[in-house]
Amino acid sequence: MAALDQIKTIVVVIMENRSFDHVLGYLSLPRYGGRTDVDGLINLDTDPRFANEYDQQIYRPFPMADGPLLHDLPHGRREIAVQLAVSGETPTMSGFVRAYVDASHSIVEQPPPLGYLTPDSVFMSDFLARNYLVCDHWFAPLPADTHPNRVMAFTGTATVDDTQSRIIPHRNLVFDWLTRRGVRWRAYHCGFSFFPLFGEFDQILGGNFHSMRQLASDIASDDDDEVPQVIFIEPEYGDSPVHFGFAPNDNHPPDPIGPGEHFLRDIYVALSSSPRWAQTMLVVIHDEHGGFFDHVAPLPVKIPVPVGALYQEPFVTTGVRVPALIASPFVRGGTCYRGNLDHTSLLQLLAEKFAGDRRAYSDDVNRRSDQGIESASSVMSRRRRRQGSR
Amino acid sequence: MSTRLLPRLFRALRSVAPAVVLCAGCASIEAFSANPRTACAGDAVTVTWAAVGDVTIGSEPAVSDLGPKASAGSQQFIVERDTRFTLKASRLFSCKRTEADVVVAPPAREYGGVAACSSAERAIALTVPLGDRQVSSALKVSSVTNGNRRPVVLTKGGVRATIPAGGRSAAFDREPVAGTWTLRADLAPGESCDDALRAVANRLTFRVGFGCGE
Repeated sequence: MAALDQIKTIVVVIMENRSFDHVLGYLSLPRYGGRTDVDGLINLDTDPRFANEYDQQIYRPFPMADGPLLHDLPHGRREIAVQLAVSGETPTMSGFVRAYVDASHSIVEQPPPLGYLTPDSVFMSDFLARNYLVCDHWFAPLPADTHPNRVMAFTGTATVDDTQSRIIPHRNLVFDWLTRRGVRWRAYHCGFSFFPLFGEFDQILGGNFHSMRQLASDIASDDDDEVPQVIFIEPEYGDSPVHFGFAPNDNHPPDPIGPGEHFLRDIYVALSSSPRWAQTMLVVIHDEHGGFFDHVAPLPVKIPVPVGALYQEPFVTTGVRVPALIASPFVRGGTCYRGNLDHTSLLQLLAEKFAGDRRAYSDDVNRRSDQGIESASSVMSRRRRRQGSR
Repeated sequence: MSTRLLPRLFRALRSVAPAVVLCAGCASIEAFSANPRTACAGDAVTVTWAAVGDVTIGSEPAVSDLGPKASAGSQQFIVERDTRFTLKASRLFSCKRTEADVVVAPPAREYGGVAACSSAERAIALTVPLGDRQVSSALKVSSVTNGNRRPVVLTKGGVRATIPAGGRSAAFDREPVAGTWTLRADLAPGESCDDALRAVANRLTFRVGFGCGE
């Protein structure tokens, strides 16, 4: 695969808790260009897919100005089941308001889970969407909250199904996998990194972990033989117990999305102003939907409960769609990729790039691949451009 | 700071944080509502609450008799226009807030939900009970619109109307909005329940235009 061979650095940024329709759904609204290649928002007042019911009343999506919310939105496994509102075996995606009212006891005319953002609020995501590639079928791997989905992104195996203060059991941590294959990697973090939750402190706090403040200078000064082949960039998490000089910019409600957009801009400017941008692939995703609405049902992906997992009920679907943007000279600008992807698509990509076989990461990742989850390399290999059917 | 100390600090902070959140001095809200959610000017709205902490009921715009209340209770307030009621619960370490809107005589509202299909009856159907929580007894129907992608038979009490897709009916005009509405959409010849439900995204809805008074 020529394009993948030419890429020297893969950069992964995982933000927090926003759904596809909430952040990028506007792309298909006529007043914002009406992109027919993006499966976003359309006919909001009449299309039944956008009707959410609470106590017999129907609520529909509305344009939301960015700003702090009164509450965080419910997004745990049990609350997501309410949001999906499965009827028979079909997720109807009609319970986002119900889950919010249950959790917050707040019932207002414009329930925050149904708010969608517009380009003035998501200026950087809008820039990336218009100039690079949107993936409109990128799902959180699990219908669960932060820790399970980040664990999937970094290991491919779901060992937990909720978010708690604990060391997370894991296997096949991506850093170990990369190190075993001699792949140079680096992680940039603002304040506290997520990775100490895996408990491997000696590695996590070693030389591969740099402050976000070093990103631009590292890019400018790294010699060719020390440039990382894989870079993970972490925002400042809003729920971090302390903030070391960074304001939260992870997009996690109730915080606004604006700081996260500036964070993305800083990353893009640092990367794209380097001569090495010509051989770089930047992937920006969100870990999970955070309780915001989306109209596309999760994919049926069944995985058995792994040995050593801290839960008993197996997952049978992915989570909700999340915003996903890929910026690189190797993707065609202003296009949309419709293939089914989730966070483990990145692990397939790494396996393909650094082991020559997209099935070389783990059996758990392959199990998802066998059920239709593609490698992130697909966005380059086929450059599939959707037709306008809906 | 050594690399051995940082993990310990991190662990300590992560373990202390939940303890603070779950502390005995924190406020919480167990219930809050303002019903009916759709009212007429001059209607009495019942606000019900239950919380842990010092409770204050407020509203925007202000109505009479707001302010500090018992930690659980129920009280009626008269509304003249769209009103947002708020509940604030405060304790030593935290303050919680939540909101409930009452809308006065909006032009219309959409009601409905996830429908069920019966192969035996060859129809998708949904029952929509509208009671004290949803609508004032003073609200009257001014029109009914079928926003579904297929005809529906709409029934309420002794009134029944077949409304084409996107069509409107005057059959319910001046009837109270409150009551039990039923929607039924017949399957097309040869159509399966799965296909029919897929065609309407599993939902049936109808839009009611409102009037207050005569």
